[in-house]
Amino acid sequence: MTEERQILFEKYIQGKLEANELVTFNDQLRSDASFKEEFELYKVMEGFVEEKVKNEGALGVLQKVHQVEIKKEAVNAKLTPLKSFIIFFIVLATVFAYLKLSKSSKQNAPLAMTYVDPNWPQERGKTNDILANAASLALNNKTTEAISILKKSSLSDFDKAYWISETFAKSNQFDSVIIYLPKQSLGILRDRINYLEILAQSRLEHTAIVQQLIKELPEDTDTFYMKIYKSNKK
Amino acid sequence: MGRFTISQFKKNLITLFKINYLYTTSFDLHLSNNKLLHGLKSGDRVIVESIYADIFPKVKSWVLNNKGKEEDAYDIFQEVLETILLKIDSVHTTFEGLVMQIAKYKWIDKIRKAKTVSSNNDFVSVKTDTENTIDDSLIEKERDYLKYKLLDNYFTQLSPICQALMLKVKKGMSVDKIVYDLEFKSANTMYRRKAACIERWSKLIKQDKNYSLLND
Repeated sequence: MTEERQILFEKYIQGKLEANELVTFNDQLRSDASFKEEFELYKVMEGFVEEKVKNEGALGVLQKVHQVEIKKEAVNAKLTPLKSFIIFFIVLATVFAYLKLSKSSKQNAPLAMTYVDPNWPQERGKTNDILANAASLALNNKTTEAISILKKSSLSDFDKAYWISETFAKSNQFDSVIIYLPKQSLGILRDRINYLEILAQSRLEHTAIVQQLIKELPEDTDTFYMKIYKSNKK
Repeated sequence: MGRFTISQFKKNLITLFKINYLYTTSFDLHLSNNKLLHGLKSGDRVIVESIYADIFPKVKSWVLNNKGKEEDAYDIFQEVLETILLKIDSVHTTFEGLVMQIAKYKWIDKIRKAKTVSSNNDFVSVKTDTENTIDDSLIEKERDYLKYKLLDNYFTQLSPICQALMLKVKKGMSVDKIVYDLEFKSANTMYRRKAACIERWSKLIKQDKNYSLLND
């Protein structure tokens, strides 16, 4: 269907043909079958576009609802009674397991412990040495300065590590406590170091580790600390 | 306490409105077939959804009982609603009856064309019953719908620009606006493009094996 023919058809439909053009058009319509066929098709196409424009909105709504209904059906088809039961059972079991677990962990886990101060050097009458200065800063919340003094001090590695851990514990920096805490706890500080580790893990909410550490405590652990652990259990 | 009472009051009022709306809508739906027809033709989503909820299960059940599958039922139902939307202007029976009649006719026609179960005795009896009861004017509407679908099939194969261009022209949009919206260089380009679209569309239609249907 050429552009010229389309223009001619359009003019005819709109009644814009001149009298002589109209006569020629009607003659061709009678004598030329392919011309007539194309004209009929053009009218049908024009009618279609008009109908499409008129019903554009309603057809769009119908299409949308149709798609939604098909999707719904697809979901329903996937959920056979057996599948629904299995899903229901899994959800139920998950909820049950979660409740059970959270209940047992609440029963076993120590509560977040509070920090109990050690005997700081000042309390032992030592006020002039480096350790006393560092402790004094730590007690006045000047953690950075205290740590700096301790690191530069001539204390043994073990003492440095211990007092740095203590300083961090005092300022509630429990990640750092675990980093600096001496790995081998010796002599009189054994129970204190164990306490610091359990305290830090407890405050970091590492419940399983806390339980394990308490389990592994030496039998002769000082009753002072044992009381703390017991009092922090529900 | 005062605030609680007001909020409760508001909630109750909204609930009351919702119940009233649902009740009246449902009441009207069951009473007025013309309201259903009008709702469908005007694109009222609530009514279209109600038609799906109320009538589709019956169509589905009938199609499944007559060798069809669930997807066939969806296709048929969608086509029925399109036929009513495009070709039917008034309801002389119940809306549901109209849907069922067209659905049965369409399904039988589809099977006849597919020639899959034409030798099945049950199907022959259903076919005969349905064809005897269907209104002649509905058969005419169905033919008109098939013509529409034939044209639509090729219209949607045209480029989005072609489709938009023809629809905008038919909507009576100004040439300047169309040129701007569709980013044509000039009005001339637009006219030439439109002619090319129509030419392409007509070629596609003429190639269809059912092209002669348009001349009936």
